[in-house]
Formats: sequence, structure tokens, C-alpha cells
Amino acid sequence: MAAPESGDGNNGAARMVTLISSDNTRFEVEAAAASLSQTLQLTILDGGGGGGDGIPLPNVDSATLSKVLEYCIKHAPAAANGGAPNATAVDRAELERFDNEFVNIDQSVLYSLIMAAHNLEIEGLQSLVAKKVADMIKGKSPMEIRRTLGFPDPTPEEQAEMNAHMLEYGWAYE
Amino acid sequence: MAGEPDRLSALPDSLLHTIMSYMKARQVVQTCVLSTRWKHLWRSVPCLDLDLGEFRDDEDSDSHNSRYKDWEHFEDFAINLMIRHNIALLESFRLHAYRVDGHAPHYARERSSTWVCRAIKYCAPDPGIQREGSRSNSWRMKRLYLCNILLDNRFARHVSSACHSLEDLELKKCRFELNTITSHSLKNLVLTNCEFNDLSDITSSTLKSLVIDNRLWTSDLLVINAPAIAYLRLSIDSRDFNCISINEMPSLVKASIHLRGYRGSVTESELGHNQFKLLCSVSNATCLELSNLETMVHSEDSTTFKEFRNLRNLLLDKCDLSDDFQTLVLFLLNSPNLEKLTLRCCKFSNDSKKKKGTPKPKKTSSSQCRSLDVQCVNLKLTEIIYKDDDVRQLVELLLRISGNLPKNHLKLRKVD
Repeated sequence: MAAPESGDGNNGAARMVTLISSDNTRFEVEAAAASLSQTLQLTILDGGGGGGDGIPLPNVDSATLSKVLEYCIKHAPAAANGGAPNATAVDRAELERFDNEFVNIDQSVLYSLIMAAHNLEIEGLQSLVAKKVADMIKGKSPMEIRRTLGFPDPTPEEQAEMNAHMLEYGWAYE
Repeated sequence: MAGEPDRLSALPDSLLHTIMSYMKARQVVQTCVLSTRWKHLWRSVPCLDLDLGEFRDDEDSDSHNSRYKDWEHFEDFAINLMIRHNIALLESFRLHAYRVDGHAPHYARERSSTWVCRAIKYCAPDPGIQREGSRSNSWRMKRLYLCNILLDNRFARHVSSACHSLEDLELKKCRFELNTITSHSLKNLVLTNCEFNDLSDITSSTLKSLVIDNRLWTSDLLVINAPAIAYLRLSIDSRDFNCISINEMPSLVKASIHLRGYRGSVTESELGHNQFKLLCSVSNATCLELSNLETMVHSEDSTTFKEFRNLRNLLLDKCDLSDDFQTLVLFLLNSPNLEKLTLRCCKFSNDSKKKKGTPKPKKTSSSQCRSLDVQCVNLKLTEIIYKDDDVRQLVELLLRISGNLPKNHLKLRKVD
């Protein structure tokens, strides 16, 4: 697990890198886990993030980063297997269970996560969150969606615009 | 909560598009009324999933009537969508003109084919407009999934003139009225329960993965010319084995052949012969899964069978090995680099014990003689998963030749 405020990586079996969140918390993780991020992978391949340096991530706060790393650490072994052609059904089921629970979180955390996944180019995490948000929208009427996703209540003008729109898009509502 | 903008709408377009790509087309369009921010987002979403199943009028209890009504709504929607969406930005398109309850009118295939053609013709980037000297047009369309659609020459012409980046093509329950699938970009092709009719060849120098899972087979002969195939999966009826001919696949890594029970009027010896030919065409595979094969060894086969030089992993699933293990021995004789052999729920003995010909005394049966020539020095594991069939004879055979399988471990597992 990510340990905040740890110093330089002591030379264990796996190479460690340090990531620094926007609020200056240091996270030490295995390079293999951090490399799930396409953005970080390049820096790490160039030898960055080791020693006392650390890679600053000015767009990701510590709460989000710790969640992102939780995902990366869990998925790193399967990713190392090259998309897991060798993974057993048990391994896959376990990852699926983890994923389902992982996105069972507050909406605001979901949006922070998907932004972080986008910035760090972690494709698997981005799709996972996108799918979760899509599931929250599916099968709901526009008003229900607005309510579920915490849209502000429409002003009378907005309401009028919505109604006009509904008429214009009758072909999608019939 | 009121007054504050919502966090979802604050995400960049590309992320909202990613979210929308997990929704069906109708729901995607409906997001346009959420707020001004969402008004035009749907028009540029790069993935569209258009599904007849989304149009169901539950209130109409008359199923015959509702079939046509649902279709009408679906069609109205599809036509409006294709006119208003910026199709030039599409990367992935899924059109499912079929419902699990069979609830599609008979003209569904022709109609949906027409819209797709029209969408490509009028909405895709103009092939005439060239970009910075590049000869091909720039349509990004990469993935196409079509279910219950007519594929005729007109369709093929439109696709081949516009879809230069098409990598994944999946066709289900489609009816072919054309002779050939040709592509210089396709990587994955999946054909499921299509009516092939006159389709006589699939030609692609780029194709990496081919899956054919077909119950109906209405073409005389389908020839596959795709030398770059690395993954092949065939699941077809026994009687249709002679309807497919596959040319050399030097890059083949994994092949999986599943034979369905129905053999029609094909005789046992014809079936064995066709099976044999098909197996020869996958002889470059490193991993082979064969399911429901029948016995096939005839005297002439043993000399003409190909060598499976690369084969490391062989799985025989529910195969008939009751020919005194001749088929199994034939594989072992021709797979010098085999590392793992799995026999799952195969048939080992003939229940009737009334095989044609004189049963030879056990000690000198031909397969037992030939088995002594087997040399699988790298075979590390033989796993036999059996139900209630007697495995004793097989174990005896393997033990007898254990000197030729120096690294082999034998694992037996009984399942219910």
C-alpha cells in the first residue's frame, strides 16, 4: 500500500518510485504499479521518481491519488501478464469483485478519479469509472438524471428550454 | 445544491463522451435536454450503439402489432440520428436490428442496410477530399458491429470506399448477398450465425483474429486467405467441415475448433477425412483446443498428417478417442515439442464393444506398436479429467511409453 511521507526507496526486490500529490503528500509505490499510467511510465522509464526526487503531480490531490494507487497496485500483476491471457478465472473474478466495490463510492470522488485517470492516462480506471457513471444515468428520465447527478434545480428559463428541447427531440422520446 | 454547477458537467467533453459510449444511442440523445452544456454533446460522441431492444412498447399487448410499432419508432430514431449526428467523427458503430424475442419484422435487414449505406454515402468524410497529400480519406471508423443486416454488393462498395481504418468487424445474423470480404485494414473478424449464401472468400493480409461461430451454413465453399491470422476459432456443425478451406497461416498461435453434433447425411469416413484436412490447416499453432472431434484415423492418414512443429499445448475436450487411441497417438507422433496435454471428458472406450473387424488381441494392437515411436521429450504434464469412462487403458498406454516421455507428470481428476 502507498505509504505517505516515506523517504527514498530502500532497495527491495522491486523498484520503488515516489509520487507527490498537489497538497505535497509523498507516496511511495512499486514502479510496476505506477507504470499503469502511460504518462508516468515514460518518466519512470527515463529513470525518474527514484531516490529522493519524486514525481510531482500538481493536478491530483492526496485523497484521489491514494485511491488511484489502490487501483494500480491491485491491477499491476495482471497488467504485467500482458493483459492477462494467463490469468485464471479465479483471478479475473477477484479483480472484477474488487472493481465493483472500488467504484461503489461518492459521486464527487468518482469525478475526481476519472479526471485523474484521464490526466495520468490510466485507461482501465477511466473506463471503469465511465461505465459506473453511465450506469447511474441508464434508464432514467432527464429530470431523474438531473436529480441523481446533483444538477442544480433548473431556473424557469432553463425549464422552458428543456421543454422546448423535448419537443424538438420528440423522435428520441417517443 | 441549487446554484452550484454540477461536477459531472465540469468534466471535459472527451470524458463525457467516454461515459456516453457506455450508453445506448437513445439514452445518449436524451442527454441533450439535461442542460445547455449537454445540448450538442451527443452529436460528436464517437461511439454509437443503436439497438432495437431499446424500443419496446410494453403497453401494447398485441405482440404482432407492437412488432411493427416498435420497429417504426426504432427506424424513425435511427434515421433522425444519422442525419443529425456528426457521423464523420464516429469511431465505433453498433447496429443491432434484432431482438432476443425475435421481435423484428421481416424487412428489418434490408431497411437497416439501406440506412447504413446512406449514412456512409452522405455523412462520412468525402473520399474525394484529400488531406495533406494522403490518398486515403480520414474517416476514423474503427469498429463496426452489425446484427441482422443485409450485406450486399452496394453495402460492400460503400464500406470499402469509406472505411479505410476499420479494424474490428463483427457480423451476427447477417445475410450475405456478396461473394467476398476483402480488407487491407481489418484485424478482428467475428461471424456469428450468418447466412453466407454466395460468400466464397475472405481475403485480408492484415487479419489477426478470426472467429466463425455458425450454425447455418448456406455456402458451398468458403476459402480463407489470411496469412497473418494468429488466433482462429471455429465452431461449426460436423457436416459443414468440408465447406471451409483455410490457406496457410504461418503466424498462427492459438486455434480452437469446436465441432457441433449435427452431421446431417455425412458419413463417418467423410467426416473423418474433412476433420483431418481441417486439422492439417492449423498445424502451425502453438496452442490447440479441439472439442467434440470424432475418431478419424484411417490407414492412409498417418503418413499424410502434418507435423505440428510448434505445438506446445494440446487440449482435447469431449473428443472420441475410442479408436484404441489411434487419434491420440497420431497427435503425439506428430507433436515433438508438446509440453502440456489435457484430455477433458473424452470418450476412451467403445461401450458396445462390437467394433467392425476382428478385435485384435490387446498386446499387439497397431496403436500400441506405433505409440512406441512417440517422442515427446518436453511433455511435462498430462492431465486427464474424466467422468465415468474407464481410464485404465489410457494410463497403461502412457505408462508403457513413459520412457519416451521422460519429463511427463500424470494427473488424474474425476469430475461429476
